Amino acid sequence: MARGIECRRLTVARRASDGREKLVIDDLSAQFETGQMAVISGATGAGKSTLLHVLAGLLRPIQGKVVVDGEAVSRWVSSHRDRWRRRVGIVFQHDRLLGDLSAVENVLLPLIPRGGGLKECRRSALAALGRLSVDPLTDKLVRNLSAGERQRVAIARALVAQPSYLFADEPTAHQDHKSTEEILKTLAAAAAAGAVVVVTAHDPRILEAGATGGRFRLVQGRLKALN
Amino acid sequence: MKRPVLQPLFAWAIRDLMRRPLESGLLVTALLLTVSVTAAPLLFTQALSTTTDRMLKEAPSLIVRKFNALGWTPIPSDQSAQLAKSVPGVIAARPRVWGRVAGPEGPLTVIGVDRGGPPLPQSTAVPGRGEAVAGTDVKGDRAAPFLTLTGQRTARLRVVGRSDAMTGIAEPNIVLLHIDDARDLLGIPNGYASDLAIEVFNPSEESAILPDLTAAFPWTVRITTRTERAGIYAAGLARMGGMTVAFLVPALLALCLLVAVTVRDRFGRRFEIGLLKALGWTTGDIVRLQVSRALLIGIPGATGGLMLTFLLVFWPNANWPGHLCPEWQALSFRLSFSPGDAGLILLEVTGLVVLPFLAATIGTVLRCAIADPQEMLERSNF
Repeated sequence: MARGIECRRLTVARRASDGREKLVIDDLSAQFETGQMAVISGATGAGKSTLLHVLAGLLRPIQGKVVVDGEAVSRWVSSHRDRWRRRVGIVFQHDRLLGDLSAVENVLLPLIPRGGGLKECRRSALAALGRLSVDPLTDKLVRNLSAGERQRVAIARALVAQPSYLFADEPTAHQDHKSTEEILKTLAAAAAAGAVVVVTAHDPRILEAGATGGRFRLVQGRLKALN
Repeated sequence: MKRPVLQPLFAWAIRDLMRRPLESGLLVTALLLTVSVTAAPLLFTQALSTTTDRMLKEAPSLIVRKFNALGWTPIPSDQSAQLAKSVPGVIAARPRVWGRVAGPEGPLTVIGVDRGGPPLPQSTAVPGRGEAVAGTDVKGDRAAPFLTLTGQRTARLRVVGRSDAMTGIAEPNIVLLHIDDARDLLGIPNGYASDLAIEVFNPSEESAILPDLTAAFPWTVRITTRTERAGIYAAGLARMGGMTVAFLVPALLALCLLVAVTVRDRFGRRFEIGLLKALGWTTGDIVRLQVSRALLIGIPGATGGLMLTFLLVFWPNANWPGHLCPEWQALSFRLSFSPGDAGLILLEVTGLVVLPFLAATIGTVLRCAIADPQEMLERSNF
């Protein structure tokens, strides 16, 4: 079981629309514990998504490191970071689904390179869709789904491989109250099963509920713990 | 634990191709045609070379024909054979009865054979009077197994066998007949032949013997040597070599286009590669997926292209290439090939067409796959 994930003096720069490099995360340190769900809020453009992308191994920091089990995973060479991402589930802010594939095919994607038979993969994908109550949409093309439905399919995709680290960017966007509750329960269940769950949100419902791993606010590139 | 990766990955490669069926179909077709256009002249030239070599080996050293003021005329069989044998260096002289007649579907070449003549292959029956052994390309009458031939007279013959026995005569659509039937059809009197086939003791003496041989006959003759016939074939082959280059230039241009389209397609799908990496696919997984995709396109494309080439060159009566050769209005014999040479050409075409296609796929994917996933997701403007 993973023991958590730690950011040590992380600094990340991104290219702004005017072409100049801008520090999005500046000397950020934080610890996210196993079996708990941490929630990060912050103004638009504060760097919440960037932080999740660095944690998930999609981006490299220019300084500092992400440490897991004593290993600086953010400094691993490309092929090893591939292996790191295999332990991660990610929900993007904009769902990043393939519109010309069905819901179940999108959810299958993380399972395909992990081995096992196709039937077994499909069974797991259907189960993940069922947990988010989108199983009736299984064979519908994603481009024909509503934004809320797409977001739930994206969450199912992140959960399907039972990741040890789950990073979710605005997972309750476009959701009604009932769906939000269902998503929060699902994320909490993943944490209870031993995953590190880090969620970014504007949604006050997330901020108020279930942040067992602490609530943080990202301001000027640094995390501040909220009471 | 070792994972059985290939099966779901390969299945996904098929699904991935089916997402753009038209594009995939066009890619297979383009590859098929490129392989075909590249391989056809190579295979044809090779087959022509193999066939002519074989024919020259089986053909007589010298062929003597008698001419008078009106042109070709039958040659007295026994007298001409005796005169030829009297020339030092000649070891055999054989009168041949053969010529063109009209068949049910166009001109045919009839060759007279008898039991005392040169041996035919074991599987080939020697036809008796009123019988014929037809080449496999020769179509008989509707009321099979008969064949109606019209020359100086018309004869209806019973087809008793099929054979593509090489007769040393470079003519299409060959029918073997009893020598007397052949004479009747061709209007050649008894005791006469169409020409005289001569074998010499030393093949290098073919040209040296010509003056003595010409002088030995009391009438005008035209003598063709094996070297002269080889020269005609060589001219055809040289022309085909030039044609090969002419074919290869557009084929290579098409190949460049194919590679460019493949590279552009791979770069156009950076978002998907970035997404797959974000979802836990390794660079190796992505390369395996793309190689599977490329093979799913490349194998049917290349196989189809080679099959089409084979049909173009070796299909019965596929004599289009003959029109490209001087002296041959039509390719007047069935081409043959040696498996070794054909295999070499397949390897050449694979190297020339399929490898650049695979390299374009894998190289582009490798460049994408080692980048940060987020960079690919953002740059694609998805």
